[in-house]
Order: sequence, then C-alpha cells, then structure tokens
Amino acid sequence: MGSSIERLSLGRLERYSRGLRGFWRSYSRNRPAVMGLAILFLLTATAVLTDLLDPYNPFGIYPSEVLLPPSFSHPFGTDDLGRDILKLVMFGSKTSLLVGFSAVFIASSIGIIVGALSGYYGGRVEDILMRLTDMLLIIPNFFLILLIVALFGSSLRNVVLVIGFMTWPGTARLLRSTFLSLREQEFVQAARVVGASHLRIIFRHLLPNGIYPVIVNSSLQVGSAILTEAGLSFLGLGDPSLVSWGRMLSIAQMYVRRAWWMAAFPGAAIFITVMAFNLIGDGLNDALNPRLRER
Amino acid sequence: MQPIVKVKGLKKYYPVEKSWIDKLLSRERRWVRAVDSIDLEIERGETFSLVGESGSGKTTTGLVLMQLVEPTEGEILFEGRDIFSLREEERRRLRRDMQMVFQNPYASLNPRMTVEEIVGEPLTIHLGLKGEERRGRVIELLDIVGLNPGKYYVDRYPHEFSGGQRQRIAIARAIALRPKFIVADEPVSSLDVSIQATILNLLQELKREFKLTYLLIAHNLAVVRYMSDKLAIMYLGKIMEKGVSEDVFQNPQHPYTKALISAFPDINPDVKRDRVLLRGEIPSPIAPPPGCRFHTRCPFRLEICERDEPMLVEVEDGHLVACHMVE
Repeated sequence: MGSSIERLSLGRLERYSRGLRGFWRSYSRNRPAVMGLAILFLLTATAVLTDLLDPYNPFGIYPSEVLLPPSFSHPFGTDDLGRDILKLVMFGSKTSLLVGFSAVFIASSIGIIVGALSGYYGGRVEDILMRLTDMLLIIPNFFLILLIVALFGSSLRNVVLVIGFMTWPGTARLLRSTFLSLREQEFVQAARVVGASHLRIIFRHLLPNGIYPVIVNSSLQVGSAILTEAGLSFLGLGDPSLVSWGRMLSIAQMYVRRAWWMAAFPGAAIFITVMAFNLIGDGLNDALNPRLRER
Repeated sequence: MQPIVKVKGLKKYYPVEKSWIDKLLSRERRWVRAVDSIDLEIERGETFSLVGESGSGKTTTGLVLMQLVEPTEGEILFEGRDIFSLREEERRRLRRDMQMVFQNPYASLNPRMTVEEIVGEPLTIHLGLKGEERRGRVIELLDIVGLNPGKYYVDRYPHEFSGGQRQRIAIARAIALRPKFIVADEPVSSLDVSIQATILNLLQELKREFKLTYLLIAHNLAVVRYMSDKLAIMYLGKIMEKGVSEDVFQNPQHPYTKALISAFPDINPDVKRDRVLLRGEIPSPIAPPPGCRFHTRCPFRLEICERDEPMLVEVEDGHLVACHMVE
C-alpha cells in the first residue's frame, strides 16, 4: 500500500517537474522574456528588502540636501525636500507591484467567473453578462476610475479595487471565446456522458484547457494596472501616504527645468517595469501556446 | 422479452438561424430535420447498426440516446422507462447503464488529464472512488482493454498514445461502470485500417464478457457486416430499410440499400453483381424532397414516389422496407 502511494505521488511530481522543465525550455528560448523575468525578480527583491533592511524614512525632510544632482552619495540625486531619489524609487516599487498584482488578481477573478459562466451556459446568462461587459468596455476606463477615486477617496485600497473592478471585461471576453470553442469538443461531451456536473466540466475540463490565454493576458494587465496607478498619482489621486512613482513624477513637474533627475528616474522605473511585464506576457504566450511548443 | 432500448417516433429538428431578411419579411422559422420520426427496437445482447451517409441523422440519433441532445418529439425507453421523463438524478444514474464511445479518440480525451483521471472520472462521479482504490480499478480496466500492464500507462497523458491506444482508453472509460448498453459512434473510422480490426475485436470480446448491447453507428459496410446482428439504413433522417443484418445484405430490397451494397467490393472477383449507381448528392435536410425522400436520386423512380411517402412494410420476418416498389 504505502509503496504504491509513494509511487503515485512520485509519478505525479516527476510529471509536474518534467512539465515545468519543458515550459522553461521553451520560455527561456525567448531572451527578452527572460530579461523581463529578471527585472521582475529584481523589483520584487527591492520591494521586499527595502522595507526590511533600510530604516530610511521616505517622508523625512533634509533641508541641507535639496535638489542635489546625481552623485556618489545620491546616485539618482535628491528631490525638493532633500530625499534620496534612488531610495524613493525603491520604495515606489512596492506600491507599484502591490497595485499591479492585487488589481489584476481582482480583475482576473471576476473576468474568469463572468467569462466561464457566459461561455459555458450561453443563452440568457451570456446575454446579460456580456451586455454588462460591453457596457464597461465602452466607458472610457481611465476617466471612470478617475471619477470614482475622486469621489470615494484615494486610499491604496480604493485604487486597487477600482482598477480591479474596471478592467475585468477583457479577461471575461477572452475566456468566453475560448470556452465557446472548447465546449463543443468531444471530450466535453464525453464528460457529460460520464455524468460530470456543470461545475466539474467547467473546472476540470474547460478551465485547464482554456486558462493559458488568460494567464498571458493577465501578465500584460499587470503592466497596464501599474501604469494606471502611476497616472492617477500623477494627477494627484494616488494614496498620499505612500511613495509612488506617479506621484514623484507629479512633483517633479514643478522642478523639471532645474532637476531633470527628479522626473527621469521614476519615469524610467515605470517604463522598465511595464516593459518587463509585456516581455513576460510575450514569453508566456510563446511558451504556453501548445502549437508553438511542440517544436 | 422486452427490448433494452426502444425508440418511438423520435424526431430531432434543429432551428435554422433566421437572417435579418427573414425577420424583416417575418418568414417562418425553418428547421433542419436531422431525425424525422424513426422507430427502433434493440434487443438485449445484440449489436444494432445504424448505417447511412453523413447527414442521414445516425449520429444525432446516438446523441439523443445518450441524452446529449433533447429530442423534439418522441420517446426513448430504456428497460421500459422513458428516459426523458425521468428526474435529473435518475437521468444521471442512468449513465451507469448507458455509455458511449466517440468517433475521434484524438478529440474525446481531455489533453490535460492523465489516463487515471480520464478512466477514473466515472468511478469518482458515480461510485465515489478515490486514491488507491480508483487507481487499482483503472489499472484493471486498462488491462481489460489490452493496455497491459495497466500500471505502466495510468500516469500518462493522451498525447503519449497512438490513435488505437487512445480508442482503447476511451473504451476503458465507457466500460468503467459496467454499463449494459454502449453507443459506439463510428468507433474505428478515424483509425488506421490496420488498427481497425483489433479495436472491433476488442469490442466483440467485451460484448461477450460483459453481456453488452451495442448501438453501432457506421458507414463502412464491412464493419457493419462483421459486427452487427441487426441494422437499419437511414437516409435524410428516415429509416429506409431495417432487419436482420444477413437478410439485408443477402436480399436488399430498397434501391438505396442496393446501391450501398453494390458499391461495396466483394472479396470474390467472379461474383456477378448488378451495380446500382447513384447520382448527385444527398439533398438538404432543411427542405427534404416531398414523397419518398430518396426519389431525387432513385434510378427506379415512379410517379407515386414524388407524391406519397412510403411506409415501412414487412417483406419477410422482421425485414422492413420503405419503398413503393415493394408494396
């Protein structure tokens, strides 16, 4: 008994690791995507370690060091309150990643549920859910987000919730279309013949086959959520109690002629981060696409 | 004895999507008459074949029998009970007795599940089996369908198998719950010819061992003749001829049956055969021809064929034909 259970779990584990290795082999063939992943690791490490290791207070004021250009002691220069820009950028990475991942987590969850239900059931369910989706799609997203944040306050939680609740339609439409084609497949009919319930068919048969485009799309969405947060902060609607790249840019506006470094470094940070997620999404697309992968 | 499956007046019409111009002119909704009033009786322990070209409604009949599609009209009795009047749980329970093998083993197995999960799924759903117990049963089943040693195959994924092996997995899934009745929809037509016979033999063996009843859906007459006890020939949703398999092959009555059989090469080249040749394509099931559905292609067409639809009449014991020529 015991030995055969071991054999079972070993077989599984081996299979998973083989699958993972296969995935990595095709993913790593895409050099830019590997770079994107490296940048993401660096950012995550920065976000986690800054908090742990450096007791630096990003909200302090250092009157003697105002607007210093980049130098050895301040590689990215200092801002109008004398704070070190490098450290601020490091603190900002935490905000960006937090917003990016949590907003996309919310958006993907809603999108997957809506897309799965409308793609699987069709008919009236689909009509109602898809009209709702279309409604959200045609509203200019950023302005609605702007409005809601302006009305309900700009805490980090609100920003995350609003971005999450506004950006799920893309995911929903994507999953719906995959489900529409998958549900006609013979293996779904076979599952039905065997007596599988609707939930079982959705979660065991359709999702495992249709989730990959959603994963790819979500990684692209992380980038755009980060950009949205930066945009909100730039317009003064970010969380005032957090360091954010967008807010740094917003302040930098006033000094841009005297202190280019105040705008350049947070701007570059946004650019690199968003690009990293796009590269990752691209790499995932290639690696998870079974037709490209077989080769 | 009561037949295990009885189909009475079964109809399945699919609505044709209205175009905007139809709606504008408020034209009536049109229907694809996939199956248009058929009767079948399948006795316990026999293999009953449905034969016909694509578009004849044979596959739709199978799908309705497996409750994958709701009938437009008519009833299906399984062991005397009308399956479409049963409650949801009873219908689900019925799946333990009625199973299906699909045409394309490349599409009928979920590519992201292992063989254990695929074959074990019915065991989990209906018997609540899990873990070691389920695994053991799956291995047994794989051994039965000729994938032995089964333990060597359980952890693999469908893409690691050939077409014939995949069909064996699909068959293992179908017999997992020890059903009484199996619908086999073109079970070998997508396989290499060299593999077809082995799968057919497997089906025959399983039938003997587990006292199964088959509804075989096929277009290949060699397969049909080899497998079936009785058969029905379908054309445009109607049954043209049905009876004991050998009677129909030896003594076909309907011109359509004759054409099918005469198109089928005999192993003996000296046998003199009257070829009945058909011209044209099968007409659209949206607007089937009036009268006898076959009259547009029938070489022996009479005037009456264009007006009146022939009924199925018995020409010899249990051998029925729907043709004005034999009346």
